[in-house]
Amino acid sequence: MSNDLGKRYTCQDCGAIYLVVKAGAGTVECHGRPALQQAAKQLPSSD
Amino acid sequence: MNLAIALAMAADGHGDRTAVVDAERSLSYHRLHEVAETLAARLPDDADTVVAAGVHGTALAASLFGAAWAGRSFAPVNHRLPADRVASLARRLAPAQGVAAPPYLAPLDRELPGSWSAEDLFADTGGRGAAFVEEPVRPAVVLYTSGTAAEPKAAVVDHDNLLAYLVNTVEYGAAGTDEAVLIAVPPFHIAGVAAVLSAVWAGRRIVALDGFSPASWIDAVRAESVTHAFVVPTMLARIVEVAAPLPSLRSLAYGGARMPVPVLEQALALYPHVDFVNAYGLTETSSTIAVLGPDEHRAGNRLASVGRPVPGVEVEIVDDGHVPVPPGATGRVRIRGAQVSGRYLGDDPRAPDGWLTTGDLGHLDADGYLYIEGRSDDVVIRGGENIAPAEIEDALLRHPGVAQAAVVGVPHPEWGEQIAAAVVLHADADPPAPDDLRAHVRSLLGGLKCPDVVAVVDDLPLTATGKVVRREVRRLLSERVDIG
Repeated sequence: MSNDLGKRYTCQDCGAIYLVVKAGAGTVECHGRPALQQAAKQLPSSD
Repeated sequence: MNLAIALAMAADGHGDRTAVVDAERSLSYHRLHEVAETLAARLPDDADTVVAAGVHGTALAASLFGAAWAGRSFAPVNHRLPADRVASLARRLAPAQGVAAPPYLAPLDRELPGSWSAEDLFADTGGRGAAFVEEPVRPAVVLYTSGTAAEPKAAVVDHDNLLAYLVNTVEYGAAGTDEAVLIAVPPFHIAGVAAVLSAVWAGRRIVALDGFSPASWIDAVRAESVTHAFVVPTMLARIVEVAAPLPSLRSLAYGGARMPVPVLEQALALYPHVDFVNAYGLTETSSTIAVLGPDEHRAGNRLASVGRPVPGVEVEIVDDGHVPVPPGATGRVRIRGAQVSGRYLGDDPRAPDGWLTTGDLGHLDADGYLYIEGRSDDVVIRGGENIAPAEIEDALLRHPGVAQAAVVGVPHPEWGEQIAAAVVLHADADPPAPDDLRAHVRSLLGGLKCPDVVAVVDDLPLTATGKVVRREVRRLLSERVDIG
């Protein structure tokens, strides 16, 4: 599983949010298991 | 974290794309990244802040990110003020590095010797390669509030506030390669700063205009195939008057002051292919905290609402004792969330629980839509009745002869205050008499909200974002009422 630049992940246990600031291989893990990738935001452009 | 991460990620993810273009030059994300690094290396050690006067577009993006890279504050000041006022604002921010567009360089340099011109920002002096400051201790941005009711205050916004806004509301790199956003709002307003940051985060090309006229704005939309734009209400009113076709435009966001519903209705009818977005926010909240989206605009029944809170932001309406009131009831708007700063230089009025109580009055409906009724300072109290000016101003604007309207309270010996309206008439219309306008408002809103005095004026005193300077209107109308 690779990490895409700018994607956000949420820990399934503690709710911490991770932002990928450098792309790379590997898995975002928290509390011993993979964090879930958050869906893209649907908010319209406001500025 | 540091805002500079947004630029580093843009250069990393899509560095060859155009970041920003103006009349002078065009910068890719790679080039903007280089310039920011170079500027960070050139900043004098004792300069806590970069004070910018009249820089926009490429120079605005460069100085904003250059300051952030070095962990210094960025403070764009209102260059349209008289030179002595600009000097006094700059003095409050010293020790600082100045940067100015040519007309403002000499006066700024007198206050901050060694100030750079906008052109100087792009000199290749080397000094690249240093990483940005990871955890800056200084605020990211210092902005003087518009001060429609009192003297301007210097609001500070931290890196974490602005990054929370970006991460919660804008999808990184989501803009298509054909997308371009036209920025014509003043650089010394939070909307001008947030627009740069959002565009860099989204990967959307910025087209920057120095100042606004309807003709130059429309020309830029067409010449650059602009897809997105942000305007303040006074700009939209003037664009609608020209009624030019804008086929490339997909999304038009607006904010900065209250949008008159009649202007919005005209714009929606004129541009049926455009997604309209109302963005409500404050300097103190890192810009937008509530959004009314395109579908709600087309449904048409909530045009007076500023929408619902964005992710990560809570909004409540409270009474004078800071107790939340039920849906539909009017009170003070208070806001909480990671993007809320609510601090000023030398003053931190935030509550310990994180709520920022604003000076805005409004209500939430049963579905959570926020309606702003005006500043609490602007309410007219006539014979014990609280009357919000907004509704009366919209009613006046529904008269075909009225171009602009401002309603204020002026002293009255018996009622405490009376309702006074200043109106600007359309030049080409058959001019209505003040009594015609009073009858028009009475027919729409009833006698309680009918202005006692209507004065025709040549223009209204406005801030750069189109907010009416009400203390000026109040002074003007008080004089007129005394004479009358």
